[in-house]
Amino acid sequence: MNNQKSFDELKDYGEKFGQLLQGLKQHDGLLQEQYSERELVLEHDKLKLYHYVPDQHIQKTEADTAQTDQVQTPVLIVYALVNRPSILDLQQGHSAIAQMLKSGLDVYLIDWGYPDASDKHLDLDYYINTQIDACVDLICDTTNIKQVSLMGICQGGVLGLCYSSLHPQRVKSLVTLVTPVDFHTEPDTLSNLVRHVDIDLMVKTMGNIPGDMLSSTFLSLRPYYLQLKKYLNLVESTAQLDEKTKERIANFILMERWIFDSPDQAGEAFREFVQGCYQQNRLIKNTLKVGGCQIDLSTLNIPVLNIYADQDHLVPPASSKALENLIPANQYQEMSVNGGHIGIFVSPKSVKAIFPAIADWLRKHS
Amino acid sequence: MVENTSFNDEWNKLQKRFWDNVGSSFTPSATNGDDITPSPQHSLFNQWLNTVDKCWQDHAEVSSGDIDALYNKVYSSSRFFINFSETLHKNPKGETADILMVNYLKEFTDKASVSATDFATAVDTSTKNNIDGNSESTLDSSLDSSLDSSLDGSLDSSLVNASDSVSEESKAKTNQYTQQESKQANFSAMHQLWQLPMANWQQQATFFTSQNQSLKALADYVGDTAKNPEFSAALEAYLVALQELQQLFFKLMINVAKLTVEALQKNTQQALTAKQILSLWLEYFDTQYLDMIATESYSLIYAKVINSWLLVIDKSDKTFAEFMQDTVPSSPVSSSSSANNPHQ
Repeated sequence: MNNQKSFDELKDYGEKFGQLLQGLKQHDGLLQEQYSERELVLEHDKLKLYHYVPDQHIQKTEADTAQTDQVQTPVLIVYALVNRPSILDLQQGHSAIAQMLKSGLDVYLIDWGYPDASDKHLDLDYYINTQIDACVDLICDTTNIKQVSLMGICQGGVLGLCYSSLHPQRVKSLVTLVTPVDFHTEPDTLSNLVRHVDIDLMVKTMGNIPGDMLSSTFLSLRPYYLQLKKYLNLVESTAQLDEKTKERIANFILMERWIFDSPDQAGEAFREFVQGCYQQNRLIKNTLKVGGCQIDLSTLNIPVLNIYADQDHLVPPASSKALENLIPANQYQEMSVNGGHIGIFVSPKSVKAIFPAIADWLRKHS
Repeated sequence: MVENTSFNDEWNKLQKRFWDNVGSSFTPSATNGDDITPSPQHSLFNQWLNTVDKCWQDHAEVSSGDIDALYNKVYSSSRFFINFSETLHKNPKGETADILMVNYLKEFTDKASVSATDFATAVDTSTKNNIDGNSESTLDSSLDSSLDSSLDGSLDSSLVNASDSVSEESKAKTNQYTQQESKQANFSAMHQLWQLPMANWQQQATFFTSQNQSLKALADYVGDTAKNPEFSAALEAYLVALQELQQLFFKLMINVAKLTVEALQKNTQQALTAKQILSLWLEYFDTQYLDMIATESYSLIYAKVINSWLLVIDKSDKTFAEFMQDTVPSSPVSSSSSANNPHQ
């Protein structure tokens, strides 16, 4: 290698590194995480149910205005137990929640909170038949309706499918996003990793499953990109410290904070979910049981919109698409989105593609 | 929070290595020790060092935990790149980057068997030392030097010890240890057995660092619980499982090195930058790694490691939280997200 070129490369890198550090210094760690205005409408143990206030100040385009008749049936977002739902409203200008409001949705969001040692016996029955049900009750009572629409994200989609199967009279329609249904598709590295792990011993030993352990497991699925390249890319993208770069650094910090903000998992629910779904693949066999009741998706006779990400390394598209063969054909629609498991919730392009489409679909099925 | 003192120490070491390695190559040799005229490269390099040095100083003012955490990650990743670039700068003949990388990786793969022999010899020496009650083992010394030298690059030839014979030798030693009457010597010897491959693995893949630290601390913990035979058996199973996992990773590393050599040999343009070459190598690693973890055999070995680790904790006389606190003082698990979460 030409020595001058090599030195220039290093020098360039050092300068960008310096710019990045200057950019980091300008954030004091108190970056705002939540942009959309919301009200706490229910507290149930550690669960909090929020209702988002439609933002009257949102500037709508003509296309927005043409499509944004308010969707009549409120939508309840059921996020996964792993990770935090704050990803949906993390970044100004990239907020999925803001886009939902802009698209005319009446949005409620479940925040599961952070389980502690006293919660290790909580099972799927509790999360689905007690907590989700309490939220649905409150929304129905408050808005004087009998049914809500559910929007389940990732593991939350599985919870949504189970709730809809067990309480069909309470669900008007269901949207599943990046939701695993068949846990034994190829390639499914996450499923492959946990396939032979002794979950009983894990729960016996640990009680609750540490969120940091799960976080490390997720990172190990793409070690080069998630633990090295993205940080090098951050340096590379910091050629000059303009406003755009500052915003990019701020967003990067928020994403980092979100990635490593992993709640512990209640031991019993974790056992049921991993054994029942990842190891025994019972959801697709219609043999999964929640609270002693069988989840038979073939009887799920409500409209379902199934959205999957075509580059999802955590939930392969094939895993999500398996839902098509389980529920009545006339009730099923699907949508493919370009992006990864997390990226589709923070990429402005994906957010603008997904949530107006969901609103439009819900409007037709309200 | 980042300890500025240790951070500065690290930076000072980095600077010294730069000058030790690069200065001799690029600074014209002086006829008089007091009269050295820096080459243009030397000046450029000095400029670069000053830039980074200023960044370090500025960092001392950054106090947020979030920023520090991110900074550490960026710094670790950057160091990886810097180490690699540094390797290129050691090149006194001015070879192109891709040719240099070919030679480098060839050395990496060619020396595998030699390293395996070195490893077996080191284990043998260590065993004798331990049984004799000699705490200053040869292996510890070689470990330290190996760890130090690892900072010089991502592909130091001393890292290579991938060979099935390593594991067989180790297993044989492990079995031998279980027959010793002294449990303490047994655990101490086992500690030595896994420490070397684990230390090497630490050099190869940063994402395994926390596990490695856990193991080192675990060794200290083992000393206090040597009277528990179930624990002893569980630990032995865990260490054997770990060795199986390591073998997979060593094979992976050699495959990646070979693939990279082949690709670079086809690069007749010889125009790749250090970053491009590093990316090439890492992308091969990622691809091979993803293929590996998707296999049934990996799933089985991975589960064996996790399950035996859980059994170690289960058979200890501690709770999981106590165990993690005792063995991994800085473990994120020991300061779990729910306990420290600012949102609560």
